[in-house]
Amino acid sequence: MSADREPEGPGRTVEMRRVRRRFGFFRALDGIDLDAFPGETLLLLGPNGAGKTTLLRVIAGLLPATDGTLTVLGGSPRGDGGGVRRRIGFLSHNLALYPDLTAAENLRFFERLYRLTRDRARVPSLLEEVGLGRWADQPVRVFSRGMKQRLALARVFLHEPDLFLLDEPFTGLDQESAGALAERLHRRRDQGASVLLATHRLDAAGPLGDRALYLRQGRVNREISLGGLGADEKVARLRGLSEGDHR
Amino acid sequence: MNALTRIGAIFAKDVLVELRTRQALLSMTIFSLLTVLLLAFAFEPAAEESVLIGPGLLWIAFAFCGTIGLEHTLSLEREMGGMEALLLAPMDRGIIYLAKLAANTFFMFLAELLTLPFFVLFFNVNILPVLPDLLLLNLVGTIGFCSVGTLLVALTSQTRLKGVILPVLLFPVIVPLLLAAVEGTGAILRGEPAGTPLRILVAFDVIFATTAFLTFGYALEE
Amino acid sequence: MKERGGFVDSLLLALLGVVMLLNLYLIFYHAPVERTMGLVQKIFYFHVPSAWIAFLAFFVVFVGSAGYLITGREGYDRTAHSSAGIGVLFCSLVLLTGPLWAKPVWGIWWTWDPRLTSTLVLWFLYVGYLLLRSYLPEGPRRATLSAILGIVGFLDVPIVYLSIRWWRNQHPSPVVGGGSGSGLDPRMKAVFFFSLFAFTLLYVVLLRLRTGHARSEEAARTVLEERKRTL
Repeated sequence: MSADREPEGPGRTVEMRRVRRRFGFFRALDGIDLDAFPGETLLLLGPNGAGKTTLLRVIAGLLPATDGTLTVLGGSPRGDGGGVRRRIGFLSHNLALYPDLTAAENLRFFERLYRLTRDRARVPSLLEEVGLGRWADQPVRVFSRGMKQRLALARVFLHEPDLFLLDEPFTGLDQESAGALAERLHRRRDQGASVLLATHRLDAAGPLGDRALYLRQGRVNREISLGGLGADEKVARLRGLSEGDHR
Repeated sequence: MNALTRIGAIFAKDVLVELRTRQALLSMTIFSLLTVLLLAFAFEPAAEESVLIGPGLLWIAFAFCGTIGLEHTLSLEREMGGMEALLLAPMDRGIIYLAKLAANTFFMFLAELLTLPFFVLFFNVNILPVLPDLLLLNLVGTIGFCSVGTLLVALTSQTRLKGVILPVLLFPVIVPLLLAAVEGTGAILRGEPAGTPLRILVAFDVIFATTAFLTFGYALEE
Repeated sequence: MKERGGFVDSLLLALLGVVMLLNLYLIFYHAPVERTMGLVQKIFYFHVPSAWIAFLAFFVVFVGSAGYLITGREGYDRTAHSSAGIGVLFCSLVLLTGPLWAKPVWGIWWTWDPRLTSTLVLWFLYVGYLLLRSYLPEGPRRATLSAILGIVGFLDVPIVYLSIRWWRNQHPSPVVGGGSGSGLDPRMKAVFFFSLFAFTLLYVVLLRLRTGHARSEEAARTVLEERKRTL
């Protein structure tokens, strides 16, 4: 069930048709149709093993689909990615950090990897924003889970992506950090970014959502629009959506 | 060039991490030294024999120590999903290959350099007069070893018993490399020209580095 | 279509039977006994064709591997895997008949003959390929990784052969490794080429059987999994 509405602005950020992905005989994705648009936050919900993580990884280009078509930001996220991966910000539970490097070294490495223009102040200010300013020169190995999560998020925001693919980004974050993250995502969305967010934290992520997809056994089970609702209403609607599965 | 900056960045990161943890280089070097020592015990070569069997034994030691090191640069990426970061970066996946190749070659060559004095000691071979040629051959041979090894370790790293299966895959493929390297080293030690072995090694390097560069991306995807 | 495939298979199998029997007859009754080596020389009619097939099979592994990487179609992977299984058998046959031939004729079990030695390395490449597959769970990943290995291995084969030949020139062995092509009696040549044909036919039949079997097994598994899901 995909939303057949006219995209405002430059067109869909993600377009998936009948996408499948299997691991051996296990069908992680079993025919997904999905559209994402700029300036919108799409929540991905569903029980464990429903395919949320696999879905995000396929969009990010980390996993090839075994069937179907996929267009991300007008192109393919695989191969040399070209302009596509440049504009994607991906976060999974893997965090993608180097434990023996310091926080600052980690971010500077990614600066070089993404060939960002050398604004020397960017890394320190980003670290400050996520509350790791004092820990800039500490190796990541000594960080707590929450600190690592915040650093990973700093990495995601570093190159100012147009498409965010976030898998459980609120893991390990306390109330304050969660709120800060939500606010940043909100701001980026208003600036036209597209956010796809898989989560169980309905309280933290719910208020952000413009639409929500409920996945089950590799398929899109239900889709609801959250436009025009207040934060509490959204969370309530989403809870209802999730609980409906247990019937 | 874009590619070179990125390769340099990844290479520098690997070297930096190694400097901090000192895991790989130490194990590789010690293992290489031990192998040389054991072979010296096993063969007790007199000076004339050393030049005959020395090159072969030396390269056995290098091959074993190289196999240990290959796994290491890849495992650096495993602990907190660094490989994911590299795959997400907006660049050709082959660049990851070239960077890992550079890092593997660097560490292996360093271990070899540290092994050579021991070799001279136990085998009574004078390498000083031919040192530049010897080092050049070593370098080209090491590049060849790592060009295949870096790819194969990517194939085996997610299997069970990965340490066992890597040599099983690697050693048949590098037979030509070892033949040329051993012959070349022997020739150099005898003061003879080593043009042909060197050419074979270069051809080997080019063919396999190119193949690996083209297929590495497929090996890393899930 | 399955019916037709089955018919072709039966036909080929019958043809193979005839050809093989004919081949044996020709080898033992038609081909003259070699002057110096005697009866043992007849191993040559098994040894050399097996070697050619071992290398041909690896070429097919290469084609299947490259085909899979380029197109992603599983048929290629099936072909590569089937060919590898057959190739390793022929390769083993070469390595068994080699020493059997060498010992009575030249007095030693192993000669560092470039062809024989290359076949030995090929054997290890085959084993490595099959071993890697055995360690990986079924799926697109196993196909991809073994395809890469197949390509690397195949590119290596000519390099191995050339390098061993070069190496042997540096270290000539006191034994000449058999002139299997030098000065053959025309009748011997004829029998040799017929034997080559027979072995090639054997390979083709085996390949068809194996890929067919793999395909139907795959299909059966898919149906089973489908049933499990909908329950």
